[in-house]
Amino acid sequence: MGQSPRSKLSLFVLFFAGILLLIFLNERGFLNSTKNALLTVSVPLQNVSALAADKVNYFGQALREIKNIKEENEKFSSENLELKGVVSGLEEIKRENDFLRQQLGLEEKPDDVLILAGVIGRDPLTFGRAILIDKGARDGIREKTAVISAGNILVGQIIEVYENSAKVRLLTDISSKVPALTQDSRMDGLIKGDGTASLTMDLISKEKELAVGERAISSGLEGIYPKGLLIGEVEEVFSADNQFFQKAKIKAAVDFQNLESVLVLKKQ
Amino acid sequence: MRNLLSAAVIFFAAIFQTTFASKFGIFGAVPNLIFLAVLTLFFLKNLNEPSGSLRSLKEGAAFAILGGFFSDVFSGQPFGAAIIAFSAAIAFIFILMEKVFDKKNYKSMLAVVFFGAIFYNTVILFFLKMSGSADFAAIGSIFARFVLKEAVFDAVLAMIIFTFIHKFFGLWVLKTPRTILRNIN
Repeated sequence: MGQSPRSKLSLFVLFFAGILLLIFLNERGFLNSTKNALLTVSVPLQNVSALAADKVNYFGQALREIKNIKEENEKFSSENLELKGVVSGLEEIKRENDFLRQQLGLEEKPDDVLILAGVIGRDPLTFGRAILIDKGARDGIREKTAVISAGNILVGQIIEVYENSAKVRLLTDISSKVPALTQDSRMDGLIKGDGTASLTMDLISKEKELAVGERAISSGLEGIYPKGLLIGEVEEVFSADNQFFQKAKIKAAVDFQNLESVLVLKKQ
Repeated sequence: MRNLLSAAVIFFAAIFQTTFASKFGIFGAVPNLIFLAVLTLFFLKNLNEPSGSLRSLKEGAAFAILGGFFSDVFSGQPFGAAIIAFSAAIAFIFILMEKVFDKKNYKSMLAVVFFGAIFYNTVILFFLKMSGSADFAAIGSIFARFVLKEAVFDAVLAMIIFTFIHKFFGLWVLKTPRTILRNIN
């Protein structure tokens, strides 16, 4: 026997109210223990599954890139030599800096503590850009802290923390917005994600012209991301006469798709 | 027991979605295994009924809430987006199977997966717009770049999953309540 339209409607209203109640309970934090329990069960499984996925991915990549390995090796060797020169120059500058700091009686800025975390899951939505890491509250991770990768490259920020895991919103997520600065021309802007691998730097003043290849770094204005973290390079500049600001397409410095481990900045 | 098994299927689909599927996208899109798990369970009536009917809307809603909850827990988008999208998509698919596709066959099932995936993602994008997480330009770009590709991907994968289940377990659902009623009459 079929249900009457009235009982169908009341069922629908009840169902919809149930969903709204779930959202409300989550907003108030009442679902945290349920989510914590679910993630406690799923993290070991995700660890195993992510490891297997990485292995399959490596194998595929190795097959695809086998012919480029020699070429890349030569490129990295020459880059390595170049970087060794840069490092020795920087060491000299650091020594001078330490000496001057001592002479002026300035206190040394405490270093940020870095927590190494493995990536164990990715956003289930095709356009979602978030990752799950295997470190959580018990490792000292807090919400709204910056996440970087090796080389001081900005990856994103912690948005949710659970007992043994945490969620990171990547720079490429559509809701990600990072105050940024171009390194040479010192122009401020806002870097936004659009779900793809590239980023857009918006709200850049038209005072100066941006150069393709210029680096974009975090400006430290928002308080979450420290100043000076590398975000990417300007790939294309868009400037129209009828607009107040210019825009730039930024090529992200990090390969978000193949990210396997990250560093969470824990401020002292 | 059957409900527990269904929940486990959706849970493992979520685990695979966040670890395996997301690594092997084609042209930037990845299949939605949680969505496919929910639909497969919705289409399969009973282990003892090789060709029964669709599950009831209530059962479908339960799968949708479970699938949506797992999606929301692992996703970086605002909580609730996937629960609402899954529930709306199940209702949409139920209506499509009942009112639009008169011939219940393989093609119509794949068609509902395709249109259901588009509907599901549209609802999520609408939710993101309403919650202020994304502007219209970003939503338009996402729709063009990902949604259609994912729908095609889901339909192709559904074809493989449905064939596998049909072949190895002899389970299939090509009849809906309307067809059954017509046969009785």
